[in-house]
Amino acid sequence: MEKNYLVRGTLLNLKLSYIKQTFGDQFHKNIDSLLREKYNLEKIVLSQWYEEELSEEINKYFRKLALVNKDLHFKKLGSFLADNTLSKLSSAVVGGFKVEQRAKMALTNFNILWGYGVPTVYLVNSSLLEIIFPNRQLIKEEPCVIAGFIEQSLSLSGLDYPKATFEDRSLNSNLLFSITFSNSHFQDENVVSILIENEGQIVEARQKVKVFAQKMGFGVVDTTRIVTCVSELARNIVYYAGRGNILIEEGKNSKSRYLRLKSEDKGPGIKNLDEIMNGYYKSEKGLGMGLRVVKKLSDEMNIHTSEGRGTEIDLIYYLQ
Amino acid sequence: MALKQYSSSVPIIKLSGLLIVAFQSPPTDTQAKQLIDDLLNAIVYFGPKAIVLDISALEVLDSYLTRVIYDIAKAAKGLGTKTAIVGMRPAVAITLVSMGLETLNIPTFLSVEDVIEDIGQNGKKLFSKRNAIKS
Repeated sequence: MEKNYLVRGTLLNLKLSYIKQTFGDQFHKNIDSLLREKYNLEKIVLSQWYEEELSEEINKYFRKLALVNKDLHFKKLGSFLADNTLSKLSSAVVGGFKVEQRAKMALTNFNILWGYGVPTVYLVNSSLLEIIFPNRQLIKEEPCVIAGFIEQSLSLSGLDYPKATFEDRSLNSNLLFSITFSNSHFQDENVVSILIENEGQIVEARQKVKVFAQKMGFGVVDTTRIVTCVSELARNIVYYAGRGNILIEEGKNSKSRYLRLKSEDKGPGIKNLDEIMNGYYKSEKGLGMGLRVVKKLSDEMNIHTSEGRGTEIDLIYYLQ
Repeated sequence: MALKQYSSSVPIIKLSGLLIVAFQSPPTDTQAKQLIDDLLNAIVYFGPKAIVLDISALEVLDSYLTRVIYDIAKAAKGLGTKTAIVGMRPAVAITLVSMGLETLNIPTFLSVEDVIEDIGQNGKKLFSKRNAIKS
């Protein structure tokens, strides 16, 4: 039986960027052409960023990568059943003590779900976890019941405010749960993730990114530039998507070190992106130029948006 | 004269015939609405020569805050009162230039003292040459 692994566009995107960072541009190009040939993609910047079904072959390849490099912080974590994956997950995500205890508790809770087939768990980034049940038919309860259950289990395992949403996959009988959570104890100092749900958290995001940028060595002017962008992104999340996530990350390429900001949400998407970027849009609450401002203030900008499914904005600031 | 009790969290101070709005932190949506409401009432009550927005405590001026400031200035203009901005941080000024908002259309001063001096010199023609809010 051929197994299909469902890898979300976000995950693939992260992985590719990681490959690029680690092995340089040439290696990236190989993967690039491989994927392009296989799926007739025009661009690898994931024009189909939302769903990407990868064959066993490529998936194996990625898994190898995950094994080769232990500090890949979005590695594929395997199934809950396999050895002590959950405790690995917990130690990867949760700082502080009593981690093992929490993990055990969560594991016990998940026992009940085993009848539904072995779920696959992806830690997409420091604030987004995806659990995929392979066979929708096996699941008798309503997905929302299971979502609640997952939330409960994960909060026991030490994640802060987990919130599970589910998607039916009519194409491939998968049932996918995306779990966003905020995590104040994430161990990796080079990554900070902030959950944005209300206006108060915009302030929090500004503070965190300010500290992060200053630590990296950005000057006052550049820090202000970055903080302004975070402010715009966070505000867009609160106004238009209601809930989302901002990731701050330190990275390095051949040119120099850089700070990467990534805003993710599962809101309505941006319908009139061209109109906004060209300055013909007038908003009710702001100047209608938040995104244009962000573009002007950042060194690199990528927007992936899909109507009804969400928006991802990726910004890079180089440390000169 | 003590100010009436205003419900907005941004202090409004009366000084030398001016109303000074001292932003402490970026106002939220509801706070901004409340502030505009309170400020307009205060303008009617005191009839100040001008209102002064002290933004020295704001580390960031994003498009939302800029909008709030515009809204305040436009509403004040409706009541025949002019608006000045004081205390902009250097980094904020540079960021505004990068944003393409270098002409805020609201007269800016280094400090409240400069505003008072300007009023002293020009009398009623308060920074008239520099003031050009397009409605």
